[in-house]
Amino acid sequence: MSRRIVNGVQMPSWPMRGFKGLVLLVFCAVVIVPFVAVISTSVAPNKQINESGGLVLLPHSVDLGAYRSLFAGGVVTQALFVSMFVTVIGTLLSLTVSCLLAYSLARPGFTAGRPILLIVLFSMLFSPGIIPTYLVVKGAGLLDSIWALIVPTMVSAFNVIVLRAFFAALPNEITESARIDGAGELKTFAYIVLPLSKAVLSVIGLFYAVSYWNAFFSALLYLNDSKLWPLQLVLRTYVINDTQLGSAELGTERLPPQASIQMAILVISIVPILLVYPFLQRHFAKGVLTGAVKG
Amino acid sequence: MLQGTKAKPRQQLSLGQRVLRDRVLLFFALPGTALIIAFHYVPLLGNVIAFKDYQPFLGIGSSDWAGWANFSVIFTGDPAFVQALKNTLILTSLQSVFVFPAPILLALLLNSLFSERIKRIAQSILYLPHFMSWVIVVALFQQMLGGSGLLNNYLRSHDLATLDIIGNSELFHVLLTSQIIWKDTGWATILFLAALSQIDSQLYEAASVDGASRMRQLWHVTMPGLRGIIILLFILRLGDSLTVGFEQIILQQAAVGRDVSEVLDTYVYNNGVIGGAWGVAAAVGLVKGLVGVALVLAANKVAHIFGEQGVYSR
Amino acid sequence: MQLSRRTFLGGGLAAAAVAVTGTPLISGCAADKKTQAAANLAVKLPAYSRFTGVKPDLPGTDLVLDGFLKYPANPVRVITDKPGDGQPITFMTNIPGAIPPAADKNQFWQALNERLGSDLQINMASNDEYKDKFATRVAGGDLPDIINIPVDTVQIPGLVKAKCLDLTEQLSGDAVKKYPFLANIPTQYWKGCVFNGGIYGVPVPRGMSRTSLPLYRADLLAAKGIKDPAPKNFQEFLDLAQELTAAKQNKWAWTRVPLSTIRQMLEVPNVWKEDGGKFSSAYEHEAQPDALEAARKMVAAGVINPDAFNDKATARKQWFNGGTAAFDYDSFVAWNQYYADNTAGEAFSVNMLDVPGFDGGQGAPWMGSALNNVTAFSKDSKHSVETLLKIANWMAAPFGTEEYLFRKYGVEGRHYALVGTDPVPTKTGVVETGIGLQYISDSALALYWSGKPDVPRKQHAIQTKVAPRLVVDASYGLYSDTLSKKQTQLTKTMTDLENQIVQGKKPVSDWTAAVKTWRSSGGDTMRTELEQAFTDAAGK
Repeated sequence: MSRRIVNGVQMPSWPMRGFKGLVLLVFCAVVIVPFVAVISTSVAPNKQINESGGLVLLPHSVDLGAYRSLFAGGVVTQALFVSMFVTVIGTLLSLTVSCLLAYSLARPGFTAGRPILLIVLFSMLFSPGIIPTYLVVKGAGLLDSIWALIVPTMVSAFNVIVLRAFFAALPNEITESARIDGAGELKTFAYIVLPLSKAVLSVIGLFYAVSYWNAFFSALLYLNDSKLWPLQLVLRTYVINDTQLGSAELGTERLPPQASIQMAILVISIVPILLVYPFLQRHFAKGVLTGAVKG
Repeated sequence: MLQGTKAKPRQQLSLGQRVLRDRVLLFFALPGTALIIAFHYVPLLGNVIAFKDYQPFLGIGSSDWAGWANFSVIFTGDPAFVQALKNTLILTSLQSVFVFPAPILLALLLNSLFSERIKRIAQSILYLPHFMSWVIVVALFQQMLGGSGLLNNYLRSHDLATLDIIGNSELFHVLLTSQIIWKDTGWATILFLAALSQIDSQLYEAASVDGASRMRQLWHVTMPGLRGIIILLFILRLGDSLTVGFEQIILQQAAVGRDVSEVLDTYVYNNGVIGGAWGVAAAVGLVKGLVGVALVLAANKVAHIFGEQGVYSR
Repeated sequence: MQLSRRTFLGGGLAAAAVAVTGTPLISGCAADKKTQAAANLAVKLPAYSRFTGVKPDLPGTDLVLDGFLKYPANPVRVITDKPGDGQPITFMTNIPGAIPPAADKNQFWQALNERLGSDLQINMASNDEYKDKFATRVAGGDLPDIINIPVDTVQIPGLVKAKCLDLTEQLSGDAVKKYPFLANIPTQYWKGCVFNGGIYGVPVPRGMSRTSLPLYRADLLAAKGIKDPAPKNFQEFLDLAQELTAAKQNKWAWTRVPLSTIRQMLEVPNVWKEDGGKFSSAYEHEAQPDALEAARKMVAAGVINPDAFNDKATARKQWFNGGTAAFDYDSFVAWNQYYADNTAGEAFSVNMLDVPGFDGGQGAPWMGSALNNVTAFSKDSKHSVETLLKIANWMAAPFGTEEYLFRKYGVEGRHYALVGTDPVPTKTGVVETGIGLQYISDSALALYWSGKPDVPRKQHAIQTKVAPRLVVDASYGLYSDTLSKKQTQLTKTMTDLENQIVQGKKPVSDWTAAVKTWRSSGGDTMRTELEQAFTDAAGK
């Protein structure tokens, strides 16, 4: 019995589909349930959180106190803007520099291709210590400047190597025909290679964006003025891991309990990614290369 | 651009002429390379503190030389160090076998779905845990699976036997690996999905017309399309194989004890960094890096033997 | 690379430095050490002159803290001159809570700058990351005017010698009287600020407020008909815990294993003990196996929360607050914090147990670590020493003064409202006032809780009860190079083993072998160095 053909591919059998569906469902459930707990805990009343030991699946009532606390004083809002600036500008710069570098490394016969690739590769294997890096950043005059959050991490070796692999995997005929038509490297890069690389550009762009968005440690070290602090660093200060100090010495009213704040922090951090991701998803669609060779 | 071509025989150009010819490409490569050198290699010079007794208030220059003293942890055969090495190797093997392939399988699964809608929704859900910090992930696991967590509380109040998951020393390696799979699999599928999208769909059509079943298409069309990126990622992962996690482990070390939980990075932390021994951390970092280099070079060689590109071609 | 803080590991601060030149010495010149130790003891500590401007309702002693049932009405203003010199002063510290709004949006901060007469620019870091930040700034060579140096920083003598100002001239003996509130800090806290033969910093005192004992939910025990619990020996202690355990309802008596309490019952010393010039470590005490065995019993009896070993402070607080647990081992500071975090309503009530002897009689509780941190001034500071000391003096104005009310609570109306004479902070107050001033200098904690006079009463009572028996860490005030470098990590190793033994995963007999390893990995060297420092000090 032959199965239905859709889009040129056979449909799978029902048991197979059932199995796949089950696996997917289990995976999604295992991820979604804790996530629901996270959101619930961020809006649950403090009493319920304490009684249930820190995690709540269904809140008795909705209490936005954690969010209000976080946004009080404008510190978090300010940090949000800083993070958005750093992420947008940083991602654009990173993508530009990385793509140019990766493209040059993907061209066969590039004189410096091999040595530079090795330089990039081995930079992944050794990590410099925080103090020497600090001294270099200081020497570059970046201390207390928002550029300290962008420039030192602008190029990620991993991302460059992946970009290079994808560029190198494009069929030769495409670039050859461009060359024959008289296009120089820049034209080839901008008009031929880039449009065909939307998938990997989306992915690497996402990687860079997330890495900028999540960064906090460099801000801690290089920025003395907390006005320039990005979101993640500010949010970290709400989470006390280990210590038993506190404004308790003042005997003052404290912020809502750690659990709801921690969860609210998580929700706030994820919302922007949630908003951006769907726009990038469509670039993972199939068939980008179809007809590119023939056309 | 490298597929199926052999370098054509070229005239012998001098170095200067080749630089001139490639000047645009050099220009392209310049900013990125300069940044890597400036912010990665220059600070690496600071690793000279691996050979010194470094004190921050003295500076790198004025600190005393310590020869190979900082490396002695590796050579003294301290049983705790050996145990840490053992755990590291066990965990890296577990990660290679379970954590590495998981996103590939998941990506294949997602890719084979017919409903674009379901595919997108599933993707959007599955990558969420990646954004949780380890502090939260560990807290979640403890609150769900811990001795006084949701699961066990439910079991206990219904007179069922409780499960010892979180504090269980024997299960610890499995727990660690499961946590990583839970946290990062969804995110890691993104790269593979992008790679899958690059496979020419006409190849699928052609194979189908030739009568290939889905299984055979998977083997003859999909896998070859993914092979390059899989090998690339695996080689890169090898370079990092002695790094199996730090924050995730430190957060959970107290309950299960050091014997099962100590890995190289936590050993260095517990026995060096706490006491301000920056030099020891640098020393171990150097050794890890050298091991990584050796592994990457070897793996790349092996890839070449099998006709693959690897990270860089010969 | 991260460095964490463990603030509970006893003193270990310098008084007898090992290096004159500031170079790190693993093997110092013996003659040098002797001169240094002698030099340190030649330093005349600031003369203690108790501030009498405010009368406590529950007067304290040298050890017991003053208690106040309500904030004094019309608090006296004790400093009339502005301490600042008009130029901005920089300060670096950790912040225990959320980052407050920056100065230009923070009315409290602005009012503070106004009263100080100089803009205070504070570079903050969260607790977890402070050590990395600190090391980087030290290495980078740009330290601020005022520096918060954590007590367990490695090689403090070398560090302060190289980078900080010597304050001996301004503070020694009667010279400190120029700064009356620094003089109000008892002498023992100054011991921890002496390095290289001089006074190099201002103390941020804790001491008694950090003393830890079993805390319990008085309301939960009262609900079971237990009022004023006072177990007389270990067995009663265990029985009490069992009464408060109901596993089926997911309630366990203890948030953590009270190993320290059991040790105190057996009179195990507080980290280091000195006897006739000879030092012995708590680890070597012969009652340790008994303590471990008893702790094991408690775990086996099921009175400890099964997740207690995950070592998470936030979880413990939730259990105690939520009523899942009835007992916690923590300090007076934590006591107040529980009231602050309380969600159980008005009935919530906390008290502390005294420590009985293991087989009856009285136990020997431990004194909390003396200092939170040492505050030093940078050598490169453009301000005069006097200015910086005046700022520190301002920060040490004691409880009951108007300055204290301002710096802890803020401006009336915006940051707090007066209920009677007690300040009750507003949300804005909490957000804006947490800028870390308590780490520049501070007065000793006063026992007080806004609107609940029975809290300081209870705290004062228990402190009075235990004060005569408190055991101090004998290594406080003595410097040992090896201790500074290795104590934290060796302690961590031992703690790891304790956890395993107590859970039953390793036999108690493993303890003796571990102590031997501890000794050979540095314990013996620490002992020798401490004994040397001690005899040098005594010999003077």
